[in-house]
Amino acid sequence: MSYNPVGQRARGEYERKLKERDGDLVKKGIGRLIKVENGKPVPVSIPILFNPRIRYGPRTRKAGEEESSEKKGGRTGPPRQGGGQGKKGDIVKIITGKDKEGKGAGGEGGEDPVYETITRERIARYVEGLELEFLKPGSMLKREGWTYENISKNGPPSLLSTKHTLEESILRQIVFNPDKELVIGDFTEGDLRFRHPKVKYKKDRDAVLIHVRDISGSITKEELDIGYIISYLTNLWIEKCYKGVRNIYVLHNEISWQATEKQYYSVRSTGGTNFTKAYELLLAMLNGKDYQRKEGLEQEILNSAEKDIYVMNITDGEDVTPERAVELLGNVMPHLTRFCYLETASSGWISILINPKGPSKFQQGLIKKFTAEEKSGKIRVYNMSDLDQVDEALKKFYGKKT
Amino acid sequence: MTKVLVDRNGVIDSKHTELFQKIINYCEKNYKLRLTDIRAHILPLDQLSEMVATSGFTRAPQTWQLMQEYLKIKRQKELGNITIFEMVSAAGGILTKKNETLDYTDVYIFDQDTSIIKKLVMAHSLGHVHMLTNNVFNIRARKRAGYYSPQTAMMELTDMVERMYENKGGERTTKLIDAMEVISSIVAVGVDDFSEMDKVIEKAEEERVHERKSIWQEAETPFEDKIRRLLPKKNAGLFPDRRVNNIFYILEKTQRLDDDEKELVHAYRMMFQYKHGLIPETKITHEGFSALLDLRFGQECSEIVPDWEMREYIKHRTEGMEHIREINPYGLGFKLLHDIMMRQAQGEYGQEYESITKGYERLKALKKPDKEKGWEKVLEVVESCNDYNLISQHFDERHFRTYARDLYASQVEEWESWFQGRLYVEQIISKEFEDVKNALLFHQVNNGRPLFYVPLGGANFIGVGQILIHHEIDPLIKQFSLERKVLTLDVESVEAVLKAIVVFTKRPVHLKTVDEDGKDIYITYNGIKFSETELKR
Repeated sequence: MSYNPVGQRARGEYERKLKERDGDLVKKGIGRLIKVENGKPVPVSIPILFNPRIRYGPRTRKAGEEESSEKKGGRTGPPRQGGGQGKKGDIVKIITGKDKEGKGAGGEGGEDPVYETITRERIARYVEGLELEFLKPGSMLKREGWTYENISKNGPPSLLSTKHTLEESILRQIVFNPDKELVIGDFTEGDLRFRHPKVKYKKDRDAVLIHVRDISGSITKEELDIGYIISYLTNLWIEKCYKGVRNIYVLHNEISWQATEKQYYSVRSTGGTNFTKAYELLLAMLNGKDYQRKEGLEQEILNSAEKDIYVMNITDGEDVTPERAVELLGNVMPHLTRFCYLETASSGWISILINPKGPSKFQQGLIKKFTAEEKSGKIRVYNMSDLDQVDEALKKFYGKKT
Repeated sequence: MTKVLVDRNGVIDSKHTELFQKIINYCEKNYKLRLTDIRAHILPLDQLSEMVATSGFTRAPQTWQLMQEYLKIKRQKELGNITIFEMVSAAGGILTKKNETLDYTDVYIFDQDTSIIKKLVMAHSLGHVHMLTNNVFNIRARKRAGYYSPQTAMMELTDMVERMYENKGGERTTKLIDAMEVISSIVAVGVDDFSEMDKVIEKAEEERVHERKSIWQEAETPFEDKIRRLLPKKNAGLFPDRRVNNIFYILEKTQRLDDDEKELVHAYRMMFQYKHGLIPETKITHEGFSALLDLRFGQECSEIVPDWEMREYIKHRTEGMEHIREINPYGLGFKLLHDIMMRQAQGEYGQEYESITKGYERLKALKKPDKEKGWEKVLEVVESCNDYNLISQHFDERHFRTYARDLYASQVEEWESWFQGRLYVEQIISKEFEDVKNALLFHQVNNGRPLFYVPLGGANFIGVGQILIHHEIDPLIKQFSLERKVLTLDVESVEAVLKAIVVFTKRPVHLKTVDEDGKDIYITYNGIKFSETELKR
């Protein structure tokens, strides 16, 4: 006798419920749900499902209305039982009013929620929930596989078609020896038939995603985190749209070099800022010239005719020579499929005092020079200061151009 | 004589069968237990977690809640947050060829425990089996399930849910089951109007037949008038003529549900009585008695449990479950029943003893402890009490001062914090006996959840079949001397329940409760939005 009452249907229903729940979580904002370290999402526990059960509790609002700001104060709810150390007047538990999941504020008897570790698949679901525009790979003949539609008289033994060979054998016996009894398995060399292979092509292209990251000393810890999350989510979305995706990580301050994934997601900010070095490195990749890179990495030679090239440029915009950088970008731009420019600004009050909000000189120059590309949606620009804006940033970069 | 059969992964385990049989023989002989036959299963963690998730049923409706429960138990066990030693389930009866029901109980034991723990767990499970078979409230809950065998009832419910998945599709079925789960939270534990209501309906029907006969025999009344009076009235007998405590009754009998929905409500009502009624109502008594039994067994039966194993046992006990800021049902029940046993053994009960007022004279009056006498009293208590009765009758000031000084009564207070906004803080309000007992008792009434009923006319509110539900307040206020305003309901949970009811009724639903000032209010949900109306007295 088996003792496995939890069957496949229960597991399937649970999965379906999780997907529904993910749809709700997207509304809260992805930025607050995900934390990326070393290129991988950190296990963050989030409440998944909760069975509402009737319980006593303070009336923080009227039914069907939003929470009122009026504070009544004083004791509320029926007496509760407990055990442990403490004397009269001691606080045994603090329940904030915002604690909506699980046990309600001052409530009693609510069920504990289940905590799920966040996975790559679940994050991909969140990104799908944003309803981004599906990227169409450029057209290029790409070998998809083999087909065996035709039959030939010659071929290797592994491609022998028993069905067609048998047919031929029977046909020969009927035509040439109609009086004799039919023998199944009476094969001659001429009866052998082989499946003929044919290469199948599909119009598809691979993509290259280049993460260009500013790590100058002016970048704060918060801005670094924003960058990690945006890079990670962008990679997820491009992988959703393309079959083959290659990530290239470029870091720059006064100098620029190609980094490994591990280095990209764990580097500290230091030094000054020079965009031109980064764009020179991109040009070197496109022209097949040598460039500075981390030990062990092979030289990348990019060909825009073969692959779709996406650039994700994350910076705080404080460049030394913005005019020169924009000019250099003009040489890179024709090779790119899309250029996404994210300008981060720390929301801390010190940063706001030093650098009042507003587009940087580089950004102004970028929009001025590439007005047509900006209108067509090839260049996408977004200014970001908070983790709550991650959804909007992704929508701006990969949503429909309005 | 009770028989036992132990299997491990479906294969009979003769070594453990022999051991369990020895333990049963010892306990039956020395502790006067009255048991059913037992089928014990030694299971690995995965399977044990699944069985605990279904409360010991080998088949259960395949819902997402079941999977969630399984994951929750498994992870908590892996992390060491909880300890599962055993699971006991009243399997019920098998019908024999002679049309007799053979009652038996299933016991599931974790296979990776040490031998001493397994022995004590076996003894512990016998306490549960004794309670399930002999406790008045447990027997009542099992009978209310409508079948003698809860396993059969659960299997039928599972088949029914599977049929619904095929007929209605996964989404609709899940929605109905979710709604059913939420609605079940407003049904009071241990309340079933059905048997009572059936009697009322039978009586009304008899009266109606009698009335018909008398009308027909009236000689002077014209024939047309007779016919008019004999025709059944519209909706006659559909709506109950008294207050109903079980919302399932109203849903099943008065609402226009389709066959599948009606069957689901019926099946859930049956299972609710067993699953939600049996366990919370007698949890403290169950666990206390079983803990007391395995302690006695461990101390006294040196043949099966040698001394060196007892040392390990004591270590295990001290590392046992920690209930931070919560009442430990094992500890509370065990201390209470142990106290009852010792007091009875020393003759601390009865009018004679109570009449002695002076302390030293009372000490003088104590007799040499007679454990057998004390144990008989314990058996009497556990067979006739639920948790409410146990605490109200036996949790007295003397016991509180001697054994339960760590208990306290607390209450939630609303605070204002300049950086966190509104804040709720649970604060100890009293460590006095009366307050603590009051708080303990309050949490035994319907397992600490609010009580509801449908008043007379509430099943056909405003004459259009809408449902009105009343929140029971006044009896609680009187019994526990509380203010009206402390019994407010959590608004989110109220909204969830009203939405769930509308899934079935498809009509507006009303709930009468109190607001934060203690005034009566009606909360109405019409399927689209909520509204609140204040009731002026």
